[in-house]
This record gives sequence, structure tokens and C-alpha cells, in this order.
Amino acid sequence: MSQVSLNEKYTDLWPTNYKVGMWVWLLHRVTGLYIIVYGIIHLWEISIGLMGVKGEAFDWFFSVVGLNPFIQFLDILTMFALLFHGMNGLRVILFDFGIGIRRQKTVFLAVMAVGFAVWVATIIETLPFITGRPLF
Amino acid sequence: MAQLTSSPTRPPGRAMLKPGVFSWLLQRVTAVFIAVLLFVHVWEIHFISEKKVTFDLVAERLNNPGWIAVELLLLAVLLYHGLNGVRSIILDFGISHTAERFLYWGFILAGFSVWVLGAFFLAPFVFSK
Repeated sequence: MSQVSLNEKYTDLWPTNYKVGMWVWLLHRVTGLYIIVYGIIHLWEISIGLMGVKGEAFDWFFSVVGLNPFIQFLDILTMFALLFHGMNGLRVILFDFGIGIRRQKTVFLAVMAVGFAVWVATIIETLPFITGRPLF
Repeated sequence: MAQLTSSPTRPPGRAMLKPGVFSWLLQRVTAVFIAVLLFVHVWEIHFISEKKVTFDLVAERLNNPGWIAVELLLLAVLLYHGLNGVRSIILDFGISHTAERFLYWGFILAGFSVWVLGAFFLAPFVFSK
């Protein structure tokens, strides 16, 4: 048997050979892990309510750090992660039920379109806080 | 384990009793719960209420037992879904049977601990009035 390189042997697992579904699978996991990191930070934020005189530290945190443009940008990123993970998860559940497998490309584009539309709405809501002036 | 694997002589329903089925099924069930509860959570706080987060606004909302239930249920299903998700990622890398058992019980312990912690974090808002 001739020598087979790792690249040739596991050809489908090589990133340059990934098709759309494989990148989506990977991004589903990456967004899942990102959401967990966000969740830990979110719990810590809420724990500030326990600190100091009733509500003072909490109000200070959200009036200063909460309105920071970079944090607002992270909020937009979080909404992307949530919407991508959620809409792709819906696609996975539909396929588990055997719904839409024959039209998998259409189903993928449809769930991504819905997620993208909601994400754009979120950005429109959030941008005034980042730029400090009304969007329109 | 052998009797749990499906064979042509058994009705296909018995194959559903494999251990991983509950992990798979509950991941889908919690996903649906999260989709609904998270939408309510984000919509209420960031779109309907005033465009800022203050202690009093949060306390006012958490004065309602229904909202406390929503937040605690959301945290519980999120913890299950998140920890079960991380567990499947780790299992995909292939770890020993002993490590799998440690992971399983460790994550159950971690999930319950963080849920209690989260409930504790809500206390100052709930009992502020």
C-alpha cells in the first residue's frame, strides 16, 4: 500500500475542502461557545446589583460601561451569535423531523434570511447609541 | 450495552432507549424553550422598556412573580442547553470513559450551582421594595 498523506486521507475534513454545511456546523459551535462567554459576563453584570448601597453600583455600571460604544458593538455581535445559532438550530430541528431535507439549500437560505433581517433591525436600534445621534 | 443496541429482530422503538437519546432530545426541547423565552427577555428589556437599564426598572419588573419565573426558567434551560452543548463538543474530540463520567457529573454539579448563584443575584432586585 502506498504512502497516503494526512491531507489526502482525510480530504473532507481539510478546511479548504469544507462546503457550506461544514462551515455552518463549525460556526454553530463557535457561536455557542461565544454565547456561553457572554452569559458568564451577563451573570456577573447582574451580580453588581448586590454591591454597595441599593442599586448605586448597578446604575453607575450601566450608565457608564453599558453605553460604551465598544460594549454596544459587542451587543450587536451577541445578537448575531444568538440569531445565527437560533436560526441554524431551527434548521437542524426541522431536518431531525425530516422536514425540508429535499430542499435543504432553500431552507438554509430562508432561515439565514430571517435571522439577517432581525439582525439588521437590531443594528438600526443600536446604532444611535454607538454614534450618539439619531440614525435618520 | 449489547442489549441496548438495535438489531433486526427487535422493534425499532427499542433503539430509542440508547443513553444519548435524552441528551439529544432535551437539547431540542430546551432549544425551543430558549427561542421563546429569550425573545421575550430581550424584547421586554431592550425594546419595550425605557432605553436604559437602571436598578429601579429591573426591580419594578421583577416585582412580578411571572417575570421571576421567566428569568429562573430561562436560566435553567440555558444552563442545560449550554453545558450539554459543550459536553457534545468535548465528546467529539474523544475522551476516556472515566473522563466522560467526570464530565457528566461535573457539569450537572456546575449547572445546579450556577442556577442557585443566578437566583441569588436576582435577590436584591426582588426584595428591594
